[in-house]
Amino acid sequence: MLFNSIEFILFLPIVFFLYWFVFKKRQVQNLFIVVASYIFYGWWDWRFLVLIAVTSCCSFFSGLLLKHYNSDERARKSVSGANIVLNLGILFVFKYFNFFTDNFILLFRNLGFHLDVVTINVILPVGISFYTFQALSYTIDVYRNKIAPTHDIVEFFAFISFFPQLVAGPIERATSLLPQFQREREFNYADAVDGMRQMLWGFLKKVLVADNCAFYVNRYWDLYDSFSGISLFALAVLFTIQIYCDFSGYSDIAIGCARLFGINLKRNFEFPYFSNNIPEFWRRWHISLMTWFRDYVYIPLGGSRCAKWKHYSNIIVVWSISGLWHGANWTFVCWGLYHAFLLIIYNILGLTKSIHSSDGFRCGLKLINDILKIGLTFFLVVFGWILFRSENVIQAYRFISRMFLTFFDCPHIMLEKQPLYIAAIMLLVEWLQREKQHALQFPNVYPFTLRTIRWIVYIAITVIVVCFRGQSQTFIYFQF
Amino acid sequence: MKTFLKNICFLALILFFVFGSIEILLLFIPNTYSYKYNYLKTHINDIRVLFLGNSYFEEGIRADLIEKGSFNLASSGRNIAFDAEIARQYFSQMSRLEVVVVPLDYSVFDFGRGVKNPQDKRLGIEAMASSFWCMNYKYLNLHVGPFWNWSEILNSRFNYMSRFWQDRSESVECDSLGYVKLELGSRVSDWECRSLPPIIDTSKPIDFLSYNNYYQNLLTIAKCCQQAGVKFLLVNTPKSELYQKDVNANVMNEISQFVKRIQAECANTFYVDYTYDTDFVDSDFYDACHLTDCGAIKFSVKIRHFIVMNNLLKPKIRR
Repeated sequence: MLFNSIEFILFLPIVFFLYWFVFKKRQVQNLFIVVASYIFYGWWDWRFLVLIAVTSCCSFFSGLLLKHYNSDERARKSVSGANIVLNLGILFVFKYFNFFTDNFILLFRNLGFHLDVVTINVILPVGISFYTFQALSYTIDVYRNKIAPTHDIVEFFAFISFFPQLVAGPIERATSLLPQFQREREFNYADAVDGMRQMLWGFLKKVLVADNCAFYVNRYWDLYDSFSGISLFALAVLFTIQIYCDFSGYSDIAIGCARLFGINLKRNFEFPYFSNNIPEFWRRWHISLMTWFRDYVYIPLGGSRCAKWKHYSNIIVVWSISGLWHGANWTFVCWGLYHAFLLIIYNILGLTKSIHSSDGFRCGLKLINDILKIGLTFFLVVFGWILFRSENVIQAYRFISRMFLTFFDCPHIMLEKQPLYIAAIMLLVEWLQREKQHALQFPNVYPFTLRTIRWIVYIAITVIVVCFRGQSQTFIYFQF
Repeated sequence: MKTFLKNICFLALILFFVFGSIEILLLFIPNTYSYKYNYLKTHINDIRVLFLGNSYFEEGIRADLIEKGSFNLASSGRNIAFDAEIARQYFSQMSRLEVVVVPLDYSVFDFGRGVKNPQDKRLGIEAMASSFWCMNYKYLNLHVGPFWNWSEILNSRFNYMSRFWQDRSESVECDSLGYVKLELGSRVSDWECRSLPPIIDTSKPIDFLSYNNYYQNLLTIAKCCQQAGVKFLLVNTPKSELYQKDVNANVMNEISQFVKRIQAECANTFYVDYTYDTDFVDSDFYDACHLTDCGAIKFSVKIRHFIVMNNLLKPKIRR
């Protein structure tokens, strides 16, 4: 079920009503969340519910086994290792098997050997990378004694399958989400209203901005040969806006929706396009995934507290895996390596500090220097997204080379500027609200202190979103 | 909780009122569909040759080149179920109706055996199906499917809000006899790779439900024609060379068999196939299977010729 579908608009109030008015006990609410989440996911393809159930069961029982073998370190390692292998195995089969097989066949063919390997014809289950990583984090945290394993299978299933964040995150940690299923939840008016506002802003970003940008990006991306460099740059900027609004829009809807049920999810985006360097960008983009990689891959590898060459090789390893996490294609690996390269450069130059924490940023943009830094960061990020969006590395190379070689060439400029204007307005609002959790968090700002004005804004946004929505697109991050 | 629910209900009520008003106000703004509906209503006793179907005809038939009393009621993306509904509702009332022409759509004949052509660069057309359905439902007053198909806000992916500030003359895209012009000059550079046929694997089993559905709808039109003493002409429209390359010969045989089945039940049915017609050249095509304004003239003349040569019109009023 998509958030931007009629089904969800009917599904949400029904679930909300039953959750608060019919199933008032915590255990029953948890069970109901599992059922609702499985319906939500099964709406797309019920057969893949088995995968979620298997992943959940393995992680749940491995947690119990880890507790059982509390004093036997070897057994604990075996249990957690087996669970990690199993979960990653499922992910590998469904997401990467064909990719690696094809590449091995190609490699051996180039070496003069003929391999006759079978590939499997299977569709990628939506959100498999998200819930697998969430399940893995639980096992690792239990292994590290950061959290006690739960004995309640229902609350664990609710933790893995909680429908707002099941298919595209934020990737929650057991340390923050599981305890919320373990305590009584009470309806909080202010939280629910702000959740609704956050959902509204998420819908605006997804349906109005991302879908309108997507229409032009999908239409023109493969026709890059017909455009001049400046048009291609505009197209890359459109995709940059699209992917941000698509993914952060989903996160806003998910977080807002969870708040309606008395559950607080992690913040996943912190206005990343206002970062003044690449390391800061990655502290604000897809925060839940980046912190996952930091805690479970980067730091165990040695992080930055080691020799310089080791530190840089850690960055390369983590970003290659991060690229591959996004999809089984060399374009994603190249995209990851591109960002690893940028991070290393910034590291060498010592430009990793965030201006967020300083007062200067919070008081407003005072220096042209900051504007230039933000501009440069944005420009570098746009380049990365060209690699990310292209079908293959050759297309990305051709796109980029044409963009540079014909930048001031023929006046064939893409004429559709409407989505750029919409995006500019959206970014302006986000800039003004950059200190808040989301852009519609304005009840204490005059004239929004007046209820009538607030309602006019809600109604106006809803009407604009519904009436000027782009062609409905699925969320980009569903494929990951 | 009570305050929250009260506010949500109140907000929903306001939104329902606002969206309802938009839907109703849209009804008062003319568009191609409403124009065709009004024409049909006001000229119901003048129409002699009626063109139904989808964009193949809407953008391919110049009714002024056919015969006096011809009208192009085809509309983009129209499902055959709507044509059958038109036949049921109007044919018996159309006192001068002599010929009904319907295009056969090759892509429909995949009946669950086809996949999207990998070379086809036209995107998002599947997502537009509900938009077309809704426009036919709302403006042609053809109630096919559930009632919520009526709502443009729920179903349409067209930029319907632009109709509020658009020049009224621009909102009706067709000429006075229902033809929508596709100019050669506005054709995109990769026109040949748009609207290509699905790749149909005839070794796969047919989805009989969709086959029967299509057959029954066409048969309904044929029978309504028979009852009204009207000739029924099925046409396979011209296709570009690239389109022809991906046409499966087995499917073309199936189409012939399909038509023969209808002809066996309704003897008033005629069939003509222009798929491989070599008179149509590159400049006649707007994309792989839709015609430009030049192609539309050529095609209309050919259809007129067929009608005349096969005596589909009554002799006394033939030109």
